[in-house]
Amino acid sequence: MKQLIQLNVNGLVYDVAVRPEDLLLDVLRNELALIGTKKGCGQGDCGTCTVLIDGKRALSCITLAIACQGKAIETIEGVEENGRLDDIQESFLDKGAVQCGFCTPGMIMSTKALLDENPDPTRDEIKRGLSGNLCRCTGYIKILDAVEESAKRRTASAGSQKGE
Amino acid sequence: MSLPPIQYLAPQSTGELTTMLADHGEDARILAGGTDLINMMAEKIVAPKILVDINGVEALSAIDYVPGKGLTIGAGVKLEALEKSQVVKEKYYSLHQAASEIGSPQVRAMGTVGGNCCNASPCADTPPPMVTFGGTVSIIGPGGQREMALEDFIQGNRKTDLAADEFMASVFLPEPWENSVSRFSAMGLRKAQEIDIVSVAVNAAVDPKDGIVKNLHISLGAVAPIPMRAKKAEALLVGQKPTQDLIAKAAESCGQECSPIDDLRGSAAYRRHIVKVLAGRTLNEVLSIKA
Repeated sequence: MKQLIQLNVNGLVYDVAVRPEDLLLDVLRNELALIGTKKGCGQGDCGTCTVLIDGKRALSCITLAIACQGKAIETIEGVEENGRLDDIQESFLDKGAVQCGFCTPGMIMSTKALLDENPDPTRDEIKRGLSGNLCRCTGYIKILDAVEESAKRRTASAGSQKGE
Repeated sequence: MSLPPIQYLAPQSTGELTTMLADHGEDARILAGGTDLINMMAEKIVAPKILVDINGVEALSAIDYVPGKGLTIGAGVKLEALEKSQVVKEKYYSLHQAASEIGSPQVRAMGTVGGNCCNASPCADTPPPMVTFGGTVSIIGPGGQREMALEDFIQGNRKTDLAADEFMASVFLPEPWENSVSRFSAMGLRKAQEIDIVSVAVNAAVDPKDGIVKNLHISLGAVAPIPMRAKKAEALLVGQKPTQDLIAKAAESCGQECSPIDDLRGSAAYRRHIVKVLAGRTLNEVLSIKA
């Protein structure tokens, strides 16, 4: 039997009817029409379903939706602000880090978590930070370049916000 | 993939958790990170009717170090928190290494120390180091609290000493030996998102005055149903000055003492060989570091 719960996704609070066994990924895609988060393996191995919950990485395909009440969920749809792509998204486009695009939302969410924790990662730290996200197209090089670029852009943005 | 119908409960205290487990017993399983459990449910390996989510029980997520006494790690502590803990890095380094290489950043953000122990996969990474530190687990049930050695708590493939109405509250690692040095090594198919083929944890204390091994614990992972101690290997080195010959003999003994199986990740023969190599390397590393 379904229960009515509230889910806070990208700052909006949704009332949604879920079964206790419903997975967050399915609720995001099927109930909330937020189809930016993708289903790859469906078992927590490929990282394509990665979202942030209270700022922490989560594999939405193996997370119960009902367990996410009272938490702040961020998906790829929430990364842009008022139609403006953020620094990570711009960098991924700039560096040609998107081929089929299927891994991209998960890659960007993982990148966001990485740069929030470590604003100036080494290439090795970037590899480690994205080690939970698989890509079948790019061979990863341009994705790593994009993350390096993201870090630079973010630092520059932060600097210009302080009026430097 | 989808799950069969369940009931979901979210206790907010250890008291509530105890009551819920007492009420539901065999029908219920604890949900912590879910990185093992949810997949097992999807594959119908286990079929609990009720999931009891412990993520709201704050008392289970503390890392508490008391100098001179030891470190208490709540069962709900995320592997990522263990990885980032300064005290674990400084005093229980092999555990830092083990926690840092589990799964992926996402899995470490979700998975817990309690889950890693209570799921009791023979390939689990955090039990071998914790066994070498003499870890004990605190178990809570309707009858109250009890303690036992982690080595005895994990009893086989996916089997622990927990009764259906009990939960693991925390693991306690005593203050390390004086001059203790610890290291963890593992062999897997990839650098991330993999399950160990073999792992080795070594904790040793060498007397700086005479160079003699005062204390040594070796625990092997993924080569037995449990995170076994290689006691014959330990006995070869304790009370001795470590030499290349003795280390090689101890490594050889590790290969003989374990009981690996053939599975999709490797053959028993391969695992025996790798145990010898990893044990030799790790012993060498630990015994040549000045504490």
